[in-house]
Amino acid sequence: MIPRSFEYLRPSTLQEAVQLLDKYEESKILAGGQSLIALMKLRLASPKYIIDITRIPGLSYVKEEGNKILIGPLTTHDTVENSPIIRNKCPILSEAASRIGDQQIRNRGTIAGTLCHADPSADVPTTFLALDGEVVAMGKDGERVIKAKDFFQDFFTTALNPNEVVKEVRVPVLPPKTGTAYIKHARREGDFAIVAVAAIITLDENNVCKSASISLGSVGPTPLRAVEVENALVGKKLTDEVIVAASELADRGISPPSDIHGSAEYRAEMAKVFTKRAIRLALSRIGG
Amino acid sequence: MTEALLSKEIPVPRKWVGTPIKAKEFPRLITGQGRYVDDIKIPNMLYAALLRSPYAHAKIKRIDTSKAEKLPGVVAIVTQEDVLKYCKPYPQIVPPPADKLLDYCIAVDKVRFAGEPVAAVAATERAIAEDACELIEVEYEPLPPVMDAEEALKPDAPLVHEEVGTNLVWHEVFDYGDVDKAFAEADKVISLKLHHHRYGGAPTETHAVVADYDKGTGVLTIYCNNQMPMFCMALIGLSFNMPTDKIRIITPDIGGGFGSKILSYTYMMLISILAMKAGRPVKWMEDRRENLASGTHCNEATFYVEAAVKKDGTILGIKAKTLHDVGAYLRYEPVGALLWIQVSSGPYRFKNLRMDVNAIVTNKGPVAPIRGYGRIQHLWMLERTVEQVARQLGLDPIEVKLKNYVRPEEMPYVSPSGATYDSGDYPTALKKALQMINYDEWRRKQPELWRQGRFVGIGAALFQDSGTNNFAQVRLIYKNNPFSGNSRMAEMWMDEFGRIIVAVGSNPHGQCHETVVSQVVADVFGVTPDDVFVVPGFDSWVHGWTGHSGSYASQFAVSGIGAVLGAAKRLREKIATIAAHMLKAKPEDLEFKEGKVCVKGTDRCVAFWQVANLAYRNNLELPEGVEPGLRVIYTWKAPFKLPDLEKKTVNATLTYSYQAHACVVEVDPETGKVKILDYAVVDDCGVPINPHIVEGQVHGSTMNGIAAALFEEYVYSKDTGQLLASTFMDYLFPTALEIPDIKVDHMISPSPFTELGTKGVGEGSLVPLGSIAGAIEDALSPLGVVITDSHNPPERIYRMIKEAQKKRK
Amino acid sequence: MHFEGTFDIKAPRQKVWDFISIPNNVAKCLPDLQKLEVPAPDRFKATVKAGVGFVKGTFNFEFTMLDMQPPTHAKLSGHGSGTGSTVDLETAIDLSDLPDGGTRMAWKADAKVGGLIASVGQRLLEGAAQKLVSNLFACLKKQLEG
Ligand SMILES: Cc1cc2nc3c(=O)[nH]c(=O)nc-3n(C[C@H](O)[C@H](O)[C@H](O)COP(=O)(O)OP(=O)(O)OC[C@H]3O[C@@H](n4cnc5c(N)ncnc54)[C@H](O)[C@@H]3O)c2cc1C
Repeated sequence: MIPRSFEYLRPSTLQEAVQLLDKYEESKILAGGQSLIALMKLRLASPKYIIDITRIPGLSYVKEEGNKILIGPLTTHDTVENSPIIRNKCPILSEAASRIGDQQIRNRGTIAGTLCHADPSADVPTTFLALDGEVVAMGKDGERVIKAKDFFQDFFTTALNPNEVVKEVRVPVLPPKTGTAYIKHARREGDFAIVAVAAIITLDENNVCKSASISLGSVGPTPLRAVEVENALVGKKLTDEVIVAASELADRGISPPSDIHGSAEYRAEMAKVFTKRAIRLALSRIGG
Repeated sequence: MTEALLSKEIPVPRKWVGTPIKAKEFPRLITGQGRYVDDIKIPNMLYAALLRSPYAHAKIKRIDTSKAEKLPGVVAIVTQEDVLKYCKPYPQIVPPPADKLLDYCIAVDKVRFAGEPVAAVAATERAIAEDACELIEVEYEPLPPVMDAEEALKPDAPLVHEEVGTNLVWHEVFDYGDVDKAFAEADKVISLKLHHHRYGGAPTETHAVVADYDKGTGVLTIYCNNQMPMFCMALIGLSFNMPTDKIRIITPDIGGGFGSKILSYTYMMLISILAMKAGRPVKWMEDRRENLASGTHCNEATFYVEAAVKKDGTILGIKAKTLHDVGAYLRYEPVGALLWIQVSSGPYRFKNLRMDVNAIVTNKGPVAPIRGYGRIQHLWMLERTVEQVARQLGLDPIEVKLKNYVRPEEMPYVSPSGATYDSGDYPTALKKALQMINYDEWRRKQPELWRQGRFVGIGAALFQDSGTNNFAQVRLIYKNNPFSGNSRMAEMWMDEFGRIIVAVGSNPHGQCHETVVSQVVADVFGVTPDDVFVVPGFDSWVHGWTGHSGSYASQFAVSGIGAVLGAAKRLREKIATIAAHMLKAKPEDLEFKEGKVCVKGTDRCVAFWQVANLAYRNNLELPEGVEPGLRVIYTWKAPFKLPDLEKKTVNATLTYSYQAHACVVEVDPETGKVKILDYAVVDDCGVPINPHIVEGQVHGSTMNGIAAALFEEYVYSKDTGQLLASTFMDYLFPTALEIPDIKVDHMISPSPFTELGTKGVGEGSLVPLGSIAGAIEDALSPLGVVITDSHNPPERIYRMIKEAQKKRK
Repeated sequence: MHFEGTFDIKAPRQKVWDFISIPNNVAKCLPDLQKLEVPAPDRFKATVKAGVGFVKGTFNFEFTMLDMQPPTHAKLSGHGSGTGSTVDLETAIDLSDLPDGGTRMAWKADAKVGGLIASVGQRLLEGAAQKLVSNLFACLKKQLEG
């Protein structure tokens, strides 16, 4: 369980990191290493160049700007979990981060790392999709913003070009009368989800559902939005019957994988159960 | 030395025995100062990596190591050819034809499980050795794998071992009492098919070996973490082309074992061959994936059970056909398929039992004597059967258990197989455990919870932990097997300065032998445990050993302590003889206290160092006929008899600890996930030498059992034979967050068969397999779900619930 | 793992047959082909890179064409190893005429994966394999029609 040999590079700026990515084929950014190193040890991934960005200063931050929260790429899961800004203005991201692995992993793993790794059963990507977040990608020709719905393309595959890095992660400040919940079904606390659901519900002044954003993890090659569930909620008073009926649509358009912890059929059923529970929980959290 | 003085006649105060002192080894082990195999560095040492088979079953057509050999840093590569030069196949303990089964420390001609070693590389760095493994080309011809014991018995099933001619490697029928009569007299016969799954030990420290061959002397030193190295010595001695006097085995601190580390002799030999071929010492540390894939799992078993019962729940007799899937090689098997014989009727008092026992090879990893070896499967089967008896008769499972338990006044109780349960009060223990979870209250609330759609259930089970085995039990596998009894050796000396040193050479891996030995010895010599030094680790050139030595089968508190007590008394007697001479008194008038020997009731004393000085340095002052020195060896022998081969009975173990567990669980009907709401254990291991350590073992065994019941399973693909739980992402070792708080209480029923009344305690028999299965079944009883598997992950329960709901509609 | 599919090709059956019975043509459709050797008309060795995202391994495959019944039926059996893993692949192809002069290709593939990938990659394996196999056949179609 020792990686194949590789070259280790340590740039001092993100620009330099991008230049190195561009110069060397089969190069990879190293952030917290909590996914990359594990794959390298298994020899399932063998980049020839490792570009360690962890010593670049100024890449860990959380700040509020307008109606957005801006998060530095090296911000750890632990920081995301405990940031007062995120806790108050976008609590679902903090909740998702708190469910990742264990404390040691949360101390090292980073927000850009988990997004770029794009594991469909990871906690933050599913939540990021529900939040309609965005990343700022930086390449040698400049920067571009990629929306969450375009970012995840396949298992471990994102819209980033091989020579781009994520410079910043952005999520919205959630509006008033919004309730959120991130829940996952896993055999042990800290396991990757069998099924995960992120739910964000906003009500209008008459307590009618104004917007609903539901995304599902671990039921396809990327996190998926449960569009039919969302449509079945918006414009309605969210009685339990409405919630139950909407949740029954959660298996539409998913293609869950099978493994020893859950067959595809089981995951499809759990998608419904956990959608129902996430919506109920989100609703119960809407303040006055 | 006269026998009288070794007997119980010397009154030993019980000052330290029974005291919960802090374990001596903890400070060093938990502050990272333990010394393990991986801490050993020898000049010029190489590092090994193993190439393992990706196939579960395939012919090896060609192995080409040429590219790997050319990689800079690679020093030696071992494949089947080298192994055949150095080794004969391991001896087997089964009767023909399976005695012909060929087993080596590497795959020869065929691979028989995914993960079996095919080549070993030694290089200057571990990374290079791993790179080299990738360069070895192996051409395989895939064969269909056989992944199920029942499939393996079909006439057209692929053969795992052609040389045996069948996958059924051992079959025997044991018939006790009058089973036919019991079934003829039954009001009802209950039938069940049950499956006990594969899980294992997953110790913190994986297998490890450093092999150092000294060309000058021809001595091969093997540093390893084997927990029963002298059992391995027999196998190594019989199969290695090496004189055994030139083989030295050393075990330093060991990081857990749970029985899995009994089988590492294959690695000890493979790495030794690599070291001899390389001409340099070689270290090999197994990685986690290798550890999970290499086998050393517990016996998987399928049961076809029938129980003959009376309407009131009285069990008249049981018939069971068991199919043990032992994996690709026998290694320690078929002992696991036989060990039910130690607990034949479990805690119950029925007399009629017929066991039709089958051990079967498949293309899974070979099994090992995992914690609760061979007994758990049987005890779990009995619990499931008794609970189904109750449910099918409309009775309360708890009542049916209590009704059928052996009564305390019947102890010592001879079970159908001749296993003699030494002492205990099973009904009281179970009731106590139930009280600890507020049984009556939950039972009262249960109907209301069911009405609310909450599936809360209560389960309780009692398993025995039979300890100190009689090796003669294996003669029931094959009458010619040349083993019997049980023994342990201990050496003890007082040095020239009056310090007491004990060398037991056991291989503890979490059981704190240094602590309990020093407690026992402290009492014999009237000192404190800190005054007794217990030599850590084991070295076959230093420690005395017998063919039974090692740490396994819940027995140190009996056999190890038996040897220590014997040695302590021998040493004490010699000290008393010399001190009596010095004090001009009779030995029987002396007492040992605070590092001195005194004439009772006086202040006439000599210090230990003064006695020792006479023995070692001033020996012209010694009394007539007394040999200089203060060093003794004692070999303890268990009071067993040979089996009755006709009746197939044997007293297979000396002591019977037991644990009663009670729990409350809640099943989420929408997901099938089980949550433990309350958990209680009542433990009785006779006289506890150190209650702290006992509690630790109880917690460990309970966790192990909860893990097995709900989290851990070695799942193999039926189709391709691949191990699918091959990392800790899929082999779900529970963490502190999954294990509930465990309430523990104790009872003490001293064993009449041991000097201190102690019993073995290490295995604990993983009772949660019984209690949790029962609690889930109880929770789901409104749906009539029957739990037939020992492992119950969410999806399995979810499916059972859906099935049951469909049927009800 | 078992996969199957059917698709229609706008080309006559004989043309389809002639095309797929040449190893070079089939090999072109393998993922990220690194190296190809054709030691015999019915056998070829291919080195490919396959995987998902940056989780990729290099595999050395040996393919054999079997049971050739021109122009209706062919089998391709392949054995590959790499990344601590093995892949055994059996595919069967059946061709039939379509009324419009085109050809219908029905294919089946059985893949057995062993070693590292099979044991740690369960969640990804089926999806990834499905994709690889369908890409292969889609590529054949494209080449024939293009
Ligand atoms: C035992 C264990 C348990 C875990 N459990 C969970 C869990 O329950 N839920 C969960 O969601 N996750 C879990 N994880 C994964 C964890 O969340 C990782 O931290 C995360 O997936 C990767 O973040 P990282 O910073 O460690 O990234 P790295 O491992 O360093 O990198 C991951 C990938 O992202 C790329 N990358 C990183 N940063 C950038 C950047 N700024 N720009 C471009 N590319 C970049 C890397 O090149 C690499 O491809 C677990 C991990 C472990 C080891």
